[in-house]
Amino acid sequence: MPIRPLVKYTLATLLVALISWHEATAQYANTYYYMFGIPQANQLNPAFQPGCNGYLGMPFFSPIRFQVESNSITYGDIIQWNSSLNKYVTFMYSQGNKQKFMDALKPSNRIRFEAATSILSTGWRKNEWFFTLDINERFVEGTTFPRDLAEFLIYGNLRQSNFNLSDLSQNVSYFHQFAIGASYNLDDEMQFGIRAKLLFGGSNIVTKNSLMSLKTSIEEWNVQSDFMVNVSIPYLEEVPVDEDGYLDMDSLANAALDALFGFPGEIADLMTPSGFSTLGGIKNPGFAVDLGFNYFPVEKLSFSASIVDLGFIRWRNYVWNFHQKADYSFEGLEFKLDEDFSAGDAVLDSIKEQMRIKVTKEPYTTMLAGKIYLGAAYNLTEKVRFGAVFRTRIYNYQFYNQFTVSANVQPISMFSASLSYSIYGNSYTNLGIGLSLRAGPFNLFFISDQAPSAYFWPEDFTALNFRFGMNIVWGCAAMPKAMKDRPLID
Amino acid sequence: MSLQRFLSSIFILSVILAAISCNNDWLTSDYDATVQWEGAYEGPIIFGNLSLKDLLEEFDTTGYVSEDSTGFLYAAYSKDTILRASDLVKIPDQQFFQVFFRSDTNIPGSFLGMLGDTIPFVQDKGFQFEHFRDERLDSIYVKDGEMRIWVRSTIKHEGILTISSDYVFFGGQKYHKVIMISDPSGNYDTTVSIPMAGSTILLDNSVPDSSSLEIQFEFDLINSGADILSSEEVQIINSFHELEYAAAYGYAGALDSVLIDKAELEFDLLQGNFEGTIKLANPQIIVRTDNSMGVPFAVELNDLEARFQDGSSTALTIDPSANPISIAAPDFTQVGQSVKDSTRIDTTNSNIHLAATTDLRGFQYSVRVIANPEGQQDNFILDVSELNVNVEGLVPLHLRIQDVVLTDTFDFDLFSDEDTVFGPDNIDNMLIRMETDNFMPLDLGIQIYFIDTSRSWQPLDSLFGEDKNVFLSGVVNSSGRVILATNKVTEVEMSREQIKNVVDANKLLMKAYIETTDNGSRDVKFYSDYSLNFKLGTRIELHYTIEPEGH
Repeated sequence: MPIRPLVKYTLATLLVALISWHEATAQYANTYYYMFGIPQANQLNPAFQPGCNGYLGMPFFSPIRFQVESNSITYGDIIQWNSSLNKYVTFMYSQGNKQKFMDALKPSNRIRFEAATSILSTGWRKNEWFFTLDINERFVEGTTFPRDLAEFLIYGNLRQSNFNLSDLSQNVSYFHQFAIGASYNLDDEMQFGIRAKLLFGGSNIVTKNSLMSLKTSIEEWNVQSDFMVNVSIPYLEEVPVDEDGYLDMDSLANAALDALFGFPGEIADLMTPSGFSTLGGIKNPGFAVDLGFNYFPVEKLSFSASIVDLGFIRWRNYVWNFHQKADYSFEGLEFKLDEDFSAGDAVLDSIKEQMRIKVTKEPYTTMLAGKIYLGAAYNLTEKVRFGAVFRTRIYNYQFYNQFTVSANVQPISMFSASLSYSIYGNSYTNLGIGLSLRAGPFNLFFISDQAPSAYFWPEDFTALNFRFGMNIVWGCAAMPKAMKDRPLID
Repeated sequence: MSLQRFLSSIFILSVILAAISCNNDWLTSDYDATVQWEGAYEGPIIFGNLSLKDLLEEFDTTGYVSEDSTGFLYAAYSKDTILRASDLVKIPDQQFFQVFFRSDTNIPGSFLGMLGDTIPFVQDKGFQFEHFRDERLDSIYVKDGEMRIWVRSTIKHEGILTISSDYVFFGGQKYHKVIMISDPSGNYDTTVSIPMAGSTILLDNSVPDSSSLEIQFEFDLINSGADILSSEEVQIINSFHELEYAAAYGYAGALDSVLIDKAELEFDLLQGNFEGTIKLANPQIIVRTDNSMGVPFAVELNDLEARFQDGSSTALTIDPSANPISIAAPDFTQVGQSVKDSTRIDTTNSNIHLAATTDLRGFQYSVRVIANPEGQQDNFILDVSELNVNVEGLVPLHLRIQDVVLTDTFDFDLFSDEDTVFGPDNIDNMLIRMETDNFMPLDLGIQIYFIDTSRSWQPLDSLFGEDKNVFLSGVVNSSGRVILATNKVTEVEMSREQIKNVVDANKLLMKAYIETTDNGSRDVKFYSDYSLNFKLGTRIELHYTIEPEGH
């Protein structure tokens, strides 16, 4: 096809993506979606088949990935350049700009951290099929805090007297993932992929139904709360409760850790079915599925779509639920003439009574944050590819969108690189880079969606991620094969 | 050059150029991670709802303050004195002497009849019954005591002595005692003791100014034929000892006694080290009696004086119509019961208003008791009868207070712990807000001085400014009762300099300025449902600096 129509098609695709743009507040390592030379690109789309006939990832290093992201505040909101002092200061510095930090906050602010590593990552080709097997360790942490909380902590309650703290939440999950995938290449025109994942929950803390408000005045402070926190923490065997089933705070404060946790005393105790079950998360099972599809309508052009991490984990082991519903007003310490009356004790008793936490042991379910990818790629040549990816992450019934365009080159068979540009939310300065090196059977890659932009414009970056991997590959073609014959993904 | 090589070269060149022309200032520049937090918070500190009843229960440790059925408060200081039955009527020991055969000459045995004859000799006499004072009892019901009969016979005859009386009863039976004198040797001597418990003695008061008891002595001599010499006789003493009565009837006498001699009623409530004046609207003295004696009394208050804080005193006089006070007595249908009575001495029947005009400390008084003030009449008195006289100084909390200033000092030590992370230097500004709802008829001002004793007790600062009236009097109606609470908000702003002075102080000098409604120009009343509500809040601006280690 002539270049001009192809460019038109590409630009049209980008335009459609931009028009359909909604708030994009999170980002993922999209740079390597269309990058040459990354076997584990099928983790974003199970339909992807690498150019090699097989690969084996280095345990714990293929890949290891890390990401932290914020939907509101940037690095520059926290660390600010002060030209008069000629140095960087925190926003809480006396000559820092606290208001800039506050203005950057949204009503609900999320900071998310995720880390993962692969104990085992391998794939092999069998005719038109490509099979994958992955064992991963994943850690996900998400903190949400309302702007009102920052207002209260930073400024106090003179500028604002009522605070809606309902968005305060914490979600932490650690789980093991066993994934088996298969991709089928149909006449070099389509590829279909599916990956089934068995999940085993290691530990979890999740906030559910968080409703909290604080109303203040010089005469009275009123706290209303209704929230539940579910936890599953291995070996957390005893939580002190009173006869009514409420958390006994006094006992908890005085309890030694070994009174709460029943950690095995010796290694041998771990080498038991029960020990394995707990460490392996077998009693907290879950399931997820990835689905993917690639389509090559014409030469040099491809479209892809995938759904990733559509699943859940059922937490049943060492489960505790903490539910609090309170409406407490503090009018000050009460002054009484009775010498035996202690105002401090009375307030503490009142707080304990009003803010009681009900403790139960009911299993609960958490959902994974599913992701949807929509992509289009144009292979200018066998060694140059332009790609565009739209990704949305579904979490807590909300969508977090990201759009990335990338230029991918593989000038020689042993080296490929990618430059990307991403937009998420109001963040428009996100340059990413990906590098892949293959020397014989060894493949090494590094990818980051923001490292360059964070380097050049540190004050604007809201997130940072990187992916690093080491593989042994075999049966790789010298150069990428032409479209229509094979998918343009090494 | 092919397009692909061109684009590849451009790509690689871009990366290199970007790398070498990078903005690496943020990596090489200085960083200062110092955090200086500046915040301002307002919130409640303390609140209280103090009723006057609570305050009185706390501070009136003696329990002198009470309330009537409407809740109106008064302080009552009283003393009791009791006149018991034994103080009014006592039965002295009695001795009735009788003798037979006392003569100046010998009585030959032949005059006495035949040998072995029984010759009766009878003496029936009314013996003078001794009294304690001027009482003239006509009947005595004895609950304890002893009758002794001493008989001594020196005649050389035997005989039968019979003592009887129609006016002494034992268990309902007339007194009749027979004593056998069985020793004719002339050396007979015996004493007989008879318990008097349960006995009754009837006295004869027919002769004016005397009471007598008729007893009959009969001596039946059994003639032994011996002469009765002039030195021989038969002696009998019939006596009553330590008689205690269960009841006595008759005229109890005219007792006139000072029961209480210049006693003092001190009013603790009004005492204290303070300036200013408290003027009572209606001080009173109440005399209450509880009389279970069947004897009317008159109680007279004498030596009545109002004593004042400065040591001076003023004599108080009571209208003759009100002093002495006639005390009612139970009548004969109310034997065993008591009759209560009271008399109020107030501004209507005395000049007690003189005690209301200055700093009353208490009253001096004497109490004189007169029994049967109207003269002789029939009374009754039981052993348990008593006259209880209660003299009560009553201070109704109906008063006015002017310019009263109470002063006290307290130890004070704020932020003394030097190890605390957070100290006074972290406070930039502080505002204290006091909101009060006063349902009392008092204007209360407070001033607190922060003193450093090491600087000769020099006041470093004060808490309140010109407007130190923290509590404003409630709205008072024409009868002096509060009908509506008054709300007041007082704000005190303290700068860093003032906060420093507060921290430097080690003593608090507190002055409380108290006046009743309208600057103490009118009388107000205090009721137990009065209350003081207060809420104390603060608005505070703080800062705190956290510097990284090595900074």
